[in-house]
Amino acid sequence: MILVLFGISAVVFIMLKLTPGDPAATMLGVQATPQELARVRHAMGLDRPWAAQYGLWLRNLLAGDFGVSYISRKPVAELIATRFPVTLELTVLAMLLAAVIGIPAGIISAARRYSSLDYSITSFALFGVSMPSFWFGILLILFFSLYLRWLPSSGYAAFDRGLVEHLKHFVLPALALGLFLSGSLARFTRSSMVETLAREFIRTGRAKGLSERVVVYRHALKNALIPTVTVLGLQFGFLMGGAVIIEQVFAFPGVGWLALIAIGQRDYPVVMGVVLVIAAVFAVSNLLVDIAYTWLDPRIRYEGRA
Amino acid sequence: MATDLARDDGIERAAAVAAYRPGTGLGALWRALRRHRLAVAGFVVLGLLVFSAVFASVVAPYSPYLIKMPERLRGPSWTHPLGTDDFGRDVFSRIIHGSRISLEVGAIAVGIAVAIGVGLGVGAAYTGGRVDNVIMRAMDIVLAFPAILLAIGIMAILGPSTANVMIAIGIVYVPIFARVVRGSALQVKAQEYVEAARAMGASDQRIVRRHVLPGVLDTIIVQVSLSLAFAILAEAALSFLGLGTQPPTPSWGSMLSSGREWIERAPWLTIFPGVAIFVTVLALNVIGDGLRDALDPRLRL
Repeated sequence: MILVLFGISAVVFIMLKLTPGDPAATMLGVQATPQELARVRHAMGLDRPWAAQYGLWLRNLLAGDFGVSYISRKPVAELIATRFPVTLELTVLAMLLAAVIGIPAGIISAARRYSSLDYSITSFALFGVSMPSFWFGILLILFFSLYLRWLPSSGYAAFDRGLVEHLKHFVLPALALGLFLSGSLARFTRSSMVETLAREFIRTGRAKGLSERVVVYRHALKNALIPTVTVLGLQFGFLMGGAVIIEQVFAFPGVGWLALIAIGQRDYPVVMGVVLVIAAVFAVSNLLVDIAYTWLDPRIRYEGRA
Repeated sequence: MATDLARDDGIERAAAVAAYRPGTGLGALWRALRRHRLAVAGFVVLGLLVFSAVFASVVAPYSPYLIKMPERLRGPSWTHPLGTDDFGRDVFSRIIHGSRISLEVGAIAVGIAVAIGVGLGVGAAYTGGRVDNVIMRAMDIVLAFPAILLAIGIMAILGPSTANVMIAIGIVYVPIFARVVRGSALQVKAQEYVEAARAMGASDQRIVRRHVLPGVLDTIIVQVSLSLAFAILAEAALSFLGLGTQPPTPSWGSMLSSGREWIERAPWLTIFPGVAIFVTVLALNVIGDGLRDALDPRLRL
């Protein structure tokens, strides 16, 4: 885990070093004299070997110093901190939507295998995993904002404009972001349920006269949901990556929006700061899933924990 | 975009395929696949796409760059079946030419990922020990980034262009192939016939070429179909963000992005390029499902 975080930081550092341009020159502008340049380069530690620079950068990072934006001169950590909650809320809402749609769809599909309902759900799921999220977002805007005029087409409303207004702005982006996951969850839940329903204990349950309802919704569901929950957790970081694109579609002021503007301005510390934060969240959420998994399924609790 | 799930999902699916090896040749695979009606439909659609990409200048009624300002933002009609864009260019012709970009990027990016990934995977499995450890830890770290985010980061360094998109997507997908191939290669390596070949004095190179690589072929094929879907989505997404293929070159993603300005006046500019991406990815996903079912009958659900 620590190793992975370390590796992530190393990769981001290397990417930062590979970005074109000299940070000192960028900070000073075109009129800088060679002496000034050398002085600033020395002050920033740019004349030292990469390994030493990495050590310094990592130490600053751990102290919460992500560097300074080339453009706005504000600390990168501050820029990210103000926008991160927006991205986080969008991601969480998208995940909830995906779970609420995808998991029940998969369960129903498996319980009524080969029915017409099953076929419509599996086709919906296949469409979900094949549809580009940003295009689906645009279609949602076309239909719900421009045609029906029910929901705002873009932008963000802070809490102080009221909860309803706040959530209204989240509906379409969260739907667009959650679409892929809901399709994929439906597919995964279905196959997990189908597999569980073929197991011995289910046959025993049926043989001893339990109703189909109890067999499917009590016994099978409990066992089939464990891997589904894991998959759901693992998708959290992926959804955050996806949010970068969806924020662009809906002009949503999260970290993705920040990163995209920064790329346009060649403001590399900001770009890599965002990459680093999302990758770190991803790594931590994967760790939490691993912990949750052993908690959900006691069989996995091994190695001196018994 | 959550296409990353495809990456994750792909590992699991391909791993499941790797676990079960019926020892079928490509002929048997094709026969099994032919029974899968959806996969056949997927192949037909993909075939049409490849055809229109290769013969784009014949299939497309106009040049994708032909500007006719008087005819700008016209809706679909007989002369322009999918309408015209803000420069009066024929949307249908641009989509046909766009298929060339999408398929090229998909094929080359996945080609890069396969070449490097298979090399690393077979190398790691075959050498073992520290080399194996170092390679696989490096792969874990690359996998620790959400795919699309890493691709965006790489594009920020390389600068926007179609060629760079191929490189970025290729790099992002290397670990998948390395991991999946390493798993299969380890299994193949433990087989008795490989041991027999070694006992007969076959060189390492010969063993890898004659026994290990053919043994991991099934796994690679499934992963390629799934990765192509991701690569095409990713190219569209990057171009949509303005980081990929640059205008005026027709790419489905950049067409969507520039069409967004006219969403109220000319919705066809955003609808049709999206349909093209959707249909292509759908075809590839269906083929991927079919391949998985054909290679691993246990997974047929």
